[in-house]
Amino acid sequence: MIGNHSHKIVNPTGNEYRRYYLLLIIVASILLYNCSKQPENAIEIDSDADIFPEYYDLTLPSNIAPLNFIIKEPGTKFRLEISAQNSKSISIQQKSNKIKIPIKAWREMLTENAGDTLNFYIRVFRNNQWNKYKTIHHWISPDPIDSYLAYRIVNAVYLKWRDMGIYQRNLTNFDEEPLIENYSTENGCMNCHSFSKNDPSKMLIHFRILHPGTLIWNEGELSKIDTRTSKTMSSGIYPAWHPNGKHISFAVGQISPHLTTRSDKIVDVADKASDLIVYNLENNTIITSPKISTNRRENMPVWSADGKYLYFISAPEAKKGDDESLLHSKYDLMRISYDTQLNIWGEVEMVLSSDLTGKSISMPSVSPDGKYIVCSMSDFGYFTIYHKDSDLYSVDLRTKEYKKLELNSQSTESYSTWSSNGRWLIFSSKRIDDVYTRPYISYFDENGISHTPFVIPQKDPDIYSRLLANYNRPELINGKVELSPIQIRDVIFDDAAKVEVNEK
Amino acid sequence: MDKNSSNQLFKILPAVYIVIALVYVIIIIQPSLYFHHTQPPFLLSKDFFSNYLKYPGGLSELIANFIMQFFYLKISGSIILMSVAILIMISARALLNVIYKSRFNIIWALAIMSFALILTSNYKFPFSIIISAEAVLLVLLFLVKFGMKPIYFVLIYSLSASFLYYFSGSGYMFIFSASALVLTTKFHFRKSLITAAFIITFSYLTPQFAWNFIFPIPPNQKYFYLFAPKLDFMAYTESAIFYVFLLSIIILVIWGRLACTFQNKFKLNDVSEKQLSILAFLLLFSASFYSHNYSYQSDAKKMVASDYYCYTNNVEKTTQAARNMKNYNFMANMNYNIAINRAGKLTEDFFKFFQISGTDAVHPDNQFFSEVSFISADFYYDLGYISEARHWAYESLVFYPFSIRTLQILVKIHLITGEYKAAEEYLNILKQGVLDRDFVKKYLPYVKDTSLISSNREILEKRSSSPAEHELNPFIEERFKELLGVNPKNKTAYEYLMLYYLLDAQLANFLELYEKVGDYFSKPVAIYEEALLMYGAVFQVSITEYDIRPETRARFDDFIQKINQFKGDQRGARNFLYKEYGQSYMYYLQFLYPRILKPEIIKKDDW
Repeated sequence: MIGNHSHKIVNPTGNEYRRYYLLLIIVASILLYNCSKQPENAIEIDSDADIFPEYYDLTLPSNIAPLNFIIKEPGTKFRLEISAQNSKSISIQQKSNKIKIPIKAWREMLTENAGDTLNFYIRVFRNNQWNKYKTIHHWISPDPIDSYLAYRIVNAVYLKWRDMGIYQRNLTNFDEEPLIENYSTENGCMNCHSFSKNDPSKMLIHFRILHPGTLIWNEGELSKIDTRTSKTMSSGIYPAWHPNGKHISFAVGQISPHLTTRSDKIVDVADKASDLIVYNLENNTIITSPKISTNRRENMPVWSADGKYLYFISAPEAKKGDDESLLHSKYDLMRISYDTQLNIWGEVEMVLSSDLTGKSISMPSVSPDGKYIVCSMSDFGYFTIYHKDSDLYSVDLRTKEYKKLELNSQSTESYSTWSSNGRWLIFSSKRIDDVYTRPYISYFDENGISHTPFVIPQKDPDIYSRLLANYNRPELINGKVELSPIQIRDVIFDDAAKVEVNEK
Repeated sequence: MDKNSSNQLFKILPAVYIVIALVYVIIIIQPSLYFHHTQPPFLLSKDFFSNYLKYPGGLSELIANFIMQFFYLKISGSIILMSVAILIMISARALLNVIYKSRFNIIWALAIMSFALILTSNYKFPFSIIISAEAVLLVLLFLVKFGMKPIYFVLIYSLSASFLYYFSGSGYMFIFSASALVLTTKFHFRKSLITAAFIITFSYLTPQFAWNFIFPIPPNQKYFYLFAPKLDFMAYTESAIFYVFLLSIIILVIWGRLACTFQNKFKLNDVSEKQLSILAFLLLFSASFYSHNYSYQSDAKKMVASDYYCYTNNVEKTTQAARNMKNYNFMANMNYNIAINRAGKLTEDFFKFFQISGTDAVHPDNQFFSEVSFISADFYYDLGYISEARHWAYESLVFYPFSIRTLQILVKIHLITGEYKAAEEYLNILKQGVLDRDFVKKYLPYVKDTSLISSNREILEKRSSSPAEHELNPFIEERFKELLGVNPKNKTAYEYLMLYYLLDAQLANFLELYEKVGDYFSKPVAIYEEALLMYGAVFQVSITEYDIRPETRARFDDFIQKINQFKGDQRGARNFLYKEYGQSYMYYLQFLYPRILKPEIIKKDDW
């Protein structure tokens, strides 16, 4: 047998060769087949993978939570490798297209590579072959973002609402806690949560309809005030904390929500009349000046970084019977100096005229270094969250030059606020579906350029296509608000302390 | 009269009773209507579930919503609802059997089951109450079975009460505690007293503790939370049967304890047991019948039926349900109008319903009622006024989160407006539900390949017919005109505008628009002819230029002649002419216009 066998090897017949060829082909095929099944042997595809949310080539804060996303490319297996210069890479391979990045490894990677680049390699297995898409490069900024974000979630697209709550989200992970949900307050309205210089120990929330009043959380003291007076048009709205933490400016006024047949402004809120007031926390009084309580409509106050000026928007008076003046006015950006110590008002100055921009200016937000104001601009009016044409602009306060920010989309961009270090902007945008507002983060560099924005990362990124509610008024805070919903509920059910008018 | 026949009775009568209950579920309750009216939300996702885990009572609501998904379909709905009812019956019987075994226990159990079913015939009834009641019965059963010694009793009670507080809410914990209190009588007096004291303290302190330290619920939910609060138009008003149902659990336990205590004093022989059982079953039937009659709201059901059949495009049943209501109902009126419009009979059949709300009948959202949101969305969608259809669909989503009905219309609306991402989102949500995959199958291709829309006639038509780029006009007349301005071929808009003029007796405007009738109708329209004749008679103007069929003239002459016979007695004429002319425009104009607020229904005998 042995002899026969060796003979066969030395002198194989043609048939025997054929048998070996066949075997060789089978083995080669299996090897090739298996090789093609290795991620390393993927076919290179010269396009970005279709992912949701659209996390492509971003500038990221070094403390942001993992950018979980969904690969929308068809496939049966999905693979993500994240690599960076100074860290071990992270590899995820799974059958699900929902990529959830391990938080610990992610955090280490971001910390170790601050100021450097992060590479995302996405591969998808389909038709027995791995496909590799273009690498996504994220730059990790050494500038961290404030660790918490406060927002309201409300399930309303038009005018009616029912369920809502104000939440605080830890941006370094995925923890979200309610500050208060309106389930606790018998479904009343709550809005305009506001902080003094990103400080979670100085907060304000308005409560409307049921148990109305303004809740103030001021360094460990929780109180409820009633800002309605016989001398003002309404209770205070659109609050703005003075940097000294002792004064809050509000608008007071009458609003007129109305529907339209426009596809880009399905509903609008007109400002019938409005003035500005300043509330003093120390003596529970409000004060105003005839200069900011004119026939014009003064609204949306915000303090300068040094607290010397009150910026606001202003439109001509809405004349009775003239719908055009009520509904389609354009707002200018103005300011007035105010010495809170001496209670001295300066003169109103034009900062940016709507005549110059051709657009109505609203939702101003001053950078912490005092150099910029970011505001929204749209065709008319001030309630820009309903305006698809609304975009964010920056105004350089040193030169009064303004420009449309790079972060804008075809959809609505509206309310914006700054991080404490002035490097991050968070703003509302409806770019995902043109219906619901989501919070986006953008890096704002020292040259005043805004980088590609990204929606705040979620543990389950699919939440954005499932949550039929808006994220309102995103406010960055540099820590957690140390208040429980129970504490807030207990105060809300108390009577509110009436503010007094300081007529000096 | 032997023991066997008595045994047979206790087998046959419950079986008969359950069969009758099943028929009741299928014919009277109709779980598909229950589903339609409440639109219970349910998604297979963690974040959806977590919303229900935040507060006491949320879990029972979540389970109720899940079970109610099966009510979407007629057959599965009836089977599931009946199964839940039978489960209640079994639990109640098992509980009683443990306390005191008697063949009569089945009657108590059937009574509780009956109350549960009768309550669900009110479509505003929160189904979570049934789930919570079942939970109370089960934990009571557990307590009775294993709480033999006071220490076990106290332990099981504490765990069960805490569980019930979280699962169902403070009210059910109260019911459970009250029942447990009764059960403590089985212990020796001193032990019984200590156990009772513990229960009272625990049931008082637990909600207080939870309110102070765990759940930020409003004060009114601290002790007697029974179901989630809803807005007025969706809110359930507790009936006497509701309280009887909840109290019956406590009464059940009391009965068991009493029977157990006095069992030796009342021994029945076979004959008297049989007689008593027949009597008990008769009482059960009577009580159920009476309870049903007491709580059943026929008109409320018909209103829901009209809405359901309108939604499912069953014109005949919609009109039938709307017309058969005893009292006028605006919602039913609107469903009637929408249904006949979909059947292409808007003008023809419009006055076959008492349109006593006048022009509001063609302007559902005239009064800003949240409850008309579904109807308004449908109304404007059919008209092609897409911005308002979108508006009302979203308003309904506020009150009915994840409503299948709303999500479906929103998918269509967003395909029309070209907002494909939003349409895709809603299709994905519908996919995550447990129902209605057909709709998703039908519309998903349009968002995957938007070029397919060019082959969808409905979407294209709606796209070309919707007014845009201005503030919404508050007047419905102007909205109809806008629709005709955008698409003069919009027959529905023309018909509604004509009806608006007819309802408001704006005959001059009607006449002006009548010039174009030939563009929309190939045959003469009876109510228009009647309007012309009435116009001629009221304003003494010549109408000879209009072609009016002889038969319409004859009817008009007869109508006028009969009115004249009553010599100014409007009421007499109205009642007399209702049978013959009640469905004509002449009758509307003569007797129903201007709007009457309290219609008097004429009995058939008075005709």
